[in-house]
Amino acid sequence: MPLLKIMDQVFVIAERIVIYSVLISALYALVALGFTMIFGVGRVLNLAHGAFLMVGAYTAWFAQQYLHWNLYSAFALAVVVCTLLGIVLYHGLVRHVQRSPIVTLIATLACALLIEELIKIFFTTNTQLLAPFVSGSVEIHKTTVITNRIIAFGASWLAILLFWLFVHRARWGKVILATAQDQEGAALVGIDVKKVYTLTWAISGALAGIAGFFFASWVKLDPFMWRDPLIISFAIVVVGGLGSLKGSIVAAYLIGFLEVLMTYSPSVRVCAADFRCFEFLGSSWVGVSSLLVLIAILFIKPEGLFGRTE
Amino acid sequence: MALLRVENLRKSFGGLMAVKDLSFHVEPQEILGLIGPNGAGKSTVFNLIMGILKPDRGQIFFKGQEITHWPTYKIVNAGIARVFQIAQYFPRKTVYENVEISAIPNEIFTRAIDPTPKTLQSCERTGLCEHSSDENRCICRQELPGMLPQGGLRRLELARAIGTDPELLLLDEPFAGLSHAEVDEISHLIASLRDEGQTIILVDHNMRGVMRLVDRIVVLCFGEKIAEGTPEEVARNPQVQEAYLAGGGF
Amino acid sequence: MSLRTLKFVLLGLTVIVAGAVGPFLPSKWMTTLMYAQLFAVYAMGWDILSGMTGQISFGHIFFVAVSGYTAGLLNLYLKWPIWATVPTGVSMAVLAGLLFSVPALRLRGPYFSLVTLILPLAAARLVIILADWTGGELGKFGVTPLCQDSLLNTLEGLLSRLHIDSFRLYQYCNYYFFWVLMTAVGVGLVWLSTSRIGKILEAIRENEEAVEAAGINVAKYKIFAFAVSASVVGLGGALSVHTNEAVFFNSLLSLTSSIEMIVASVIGGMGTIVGALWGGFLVRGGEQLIREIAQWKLPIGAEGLALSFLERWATFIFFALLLVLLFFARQGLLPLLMGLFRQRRGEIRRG
Repeated sequence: MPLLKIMDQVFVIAERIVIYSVLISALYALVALGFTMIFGVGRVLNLAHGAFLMVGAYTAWFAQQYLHWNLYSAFALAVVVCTLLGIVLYHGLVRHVQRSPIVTLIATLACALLIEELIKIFFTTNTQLLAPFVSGSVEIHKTTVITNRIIAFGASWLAILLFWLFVHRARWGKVILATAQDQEGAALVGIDVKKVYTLTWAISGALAGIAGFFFASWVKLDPFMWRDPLIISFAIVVVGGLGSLKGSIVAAYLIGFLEVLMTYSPSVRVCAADFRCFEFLGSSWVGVSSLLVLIAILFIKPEGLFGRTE
Repeated sequence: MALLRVENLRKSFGGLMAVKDLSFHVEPQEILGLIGPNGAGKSTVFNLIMGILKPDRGQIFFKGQEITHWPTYKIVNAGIARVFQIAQYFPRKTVYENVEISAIPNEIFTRAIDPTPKTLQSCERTGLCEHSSDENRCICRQELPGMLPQGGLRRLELARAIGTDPELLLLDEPFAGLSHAEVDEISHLIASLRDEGQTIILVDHNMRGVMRLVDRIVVLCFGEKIAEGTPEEVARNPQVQEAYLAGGGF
Repeated sequence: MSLRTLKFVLLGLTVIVAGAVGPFLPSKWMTTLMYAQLFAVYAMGWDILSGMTGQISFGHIFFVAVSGYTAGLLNLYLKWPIWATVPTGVSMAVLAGLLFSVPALRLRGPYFSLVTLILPLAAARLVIILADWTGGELGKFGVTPLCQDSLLNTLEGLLSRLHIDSFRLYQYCNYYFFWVLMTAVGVGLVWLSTSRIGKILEAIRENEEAVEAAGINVAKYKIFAFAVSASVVGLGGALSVHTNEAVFFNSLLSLTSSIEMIVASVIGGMGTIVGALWGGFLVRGGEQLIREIAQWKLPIGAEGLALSFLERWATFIFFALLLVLLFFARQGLLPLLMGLFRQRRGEIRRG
């Protein structure tokens, strides 16, 4: 009997890990989508991507908390603000420094830290709560899942599918794809590359706004929250390859699974003789898996990063 | 003994065979012309010799020692130097400082050696001197390389290559992009290096231009050696003439 | 005047001024400038690798952390004395630098920078997971102070005649300790940067292929620069732990400090070492200046307009300044001055 009970426990945990990772990986894919797209089309690594998410999250929170908007309008406002932010950042900054990748990195990182500072100044460093679309939870078999997470999952997939349809069906989507493959060629056949970039930054901003909203209501809302999404995006690009949507989704699921495995699996408390302890696995390990994947790739196959070494 | 011996060298990029089982050698104090139409794999051969690309197969021997898998700097220090087709220089350093680099030893912890005399000598040999009141002393030019004409950049490259005391000098299309006057100047310079006993491999797509300079020619076409011999022999070779016509007169 | 002489003169003047103003500083500013000197060491350490070779590191604070936590924890738990903790900390930083540099140097440009950004983030996780030892985000007190009582007591009798109380004496001790460190590091790095090794590092920044074609092992020089850089930054980190008498997360692992090193170097002129030192002072001194100004009241309105809001904007102002500099004055202060100098005095003969 006890053996059966243990098996049962293991099964419950395994089920929980599978369900959680399927759900959160969709969000991760959405988080990385805008970052991957900007990298794929313009070869720009936008270190402010995580900050975009944060701006989206704080906008929704602000509209709800201080302007007393309903959640749907707050969500829409977040998306609009992020879209504008993408366009402003591109035209006000990135366009002028794009030729030097290093300066672009420093500039976008400085932007992220600027946004962090602004949020600290206006909203303090406290962790805030962003109300979910739907509260409560549902039972899937033996696992309790917060309803909002299922909505986040659905919304993420919807956004990804819409994005895919746009890129492959719409005229401007195809133009973006063409530019991603060959910038000079696109310019030669009369594509206004600057317009394409503006569009990609706008879309990337919008996607970040959606992702930020759900990320905040799922994970956390504080002025430092931009770091994790940035690392996740970076890890997904490294694992999934340059600008590939399919690769990104596979990578998102891989990293999401590892993440959930680390955070939701039973943790082991390791203690020294003086009763100082640390937890092996568990909630303090959030975000560790993407870091580990990145470091592992760096050490094992640095030339494999992005499929090219330049 | 041959100074450089290349045996069955092969390199492909994806499906394209850039160099196909190529073998040739260079004798000391000889100038070998490596001739072929554009895309014949000449620059790839140089990149393979310099260790910038790794061959799929085959070996490269320098002074009887295999150097196939050596890194570039080691090959340079063994005595092979290369002049790039597109000038590689330090845009924010003066001509003097550009040339000085090859006079600095590779060792980090070593007795200080003054690189100045060597640098001035390299400048003098390649005609990068400034006019000074004292006619006998060479002063390397102090301007930035960006101010030099194409011919000057070629001299700069040559000066840096010579600064490594090479036993073998690889010249990649030394006349490309030069004016007529500059072509004459650079070919005089190469001739003077030859007269000093410098061994050279010279890559060019233009056979006529190098006929007077070279002792022997290897003709490449689509990565394969199609002929080898003195300039006269090669010019008479029917296969070369055919490739010559097909290549649009290389 | 050669470039080397010029840099040594500028370094000398800066160091003399920093040393001479010490006794006249109010207590608050003395602390600020002490930390500015430490930060100048970090900035110079960053500059010898990133400024000179063009391999921009976003995560140099990682080496501060490795050295600082090693020294601090060895002292806290194994009671190692300072003369043992500092060298061990520095060695660990160098080791980390070497371990990291070998795979990292195969990456070029922005990919290298991105990977360096990950290091401090990973280290921060580790510190938090091991919070029972490291104190996590709060830090852990009880590290042996750099200026120990026994040392101070011997000096106190001597200095009491000069009307210097013991707290002031303690401050003096720390201030001049970092002054010595900054001077030593400055002299060493200026010498290195203007030596033939410096010339090669600069050349690597401009054209790696050409350096390799001149028979120089680029990877070896980069790794060397990595080791020097990590050791300098690590030395600062280990000593700062003993000055703070604590391992502080915010001073050993803050991403902001990591980026501020870049700010300092860009302000002063990347790859100039002396410029980075100036930049270090400008960043830390500027932050304190903003805090001072924040206590003023403008004579507007009946109550006066308090400027206290400025205090919270200090970091913001610096990042905004960085962006402006990246746009308009990418060359930085020292090259700018040298340009003026050159116009006046004719060409400075290099070499």
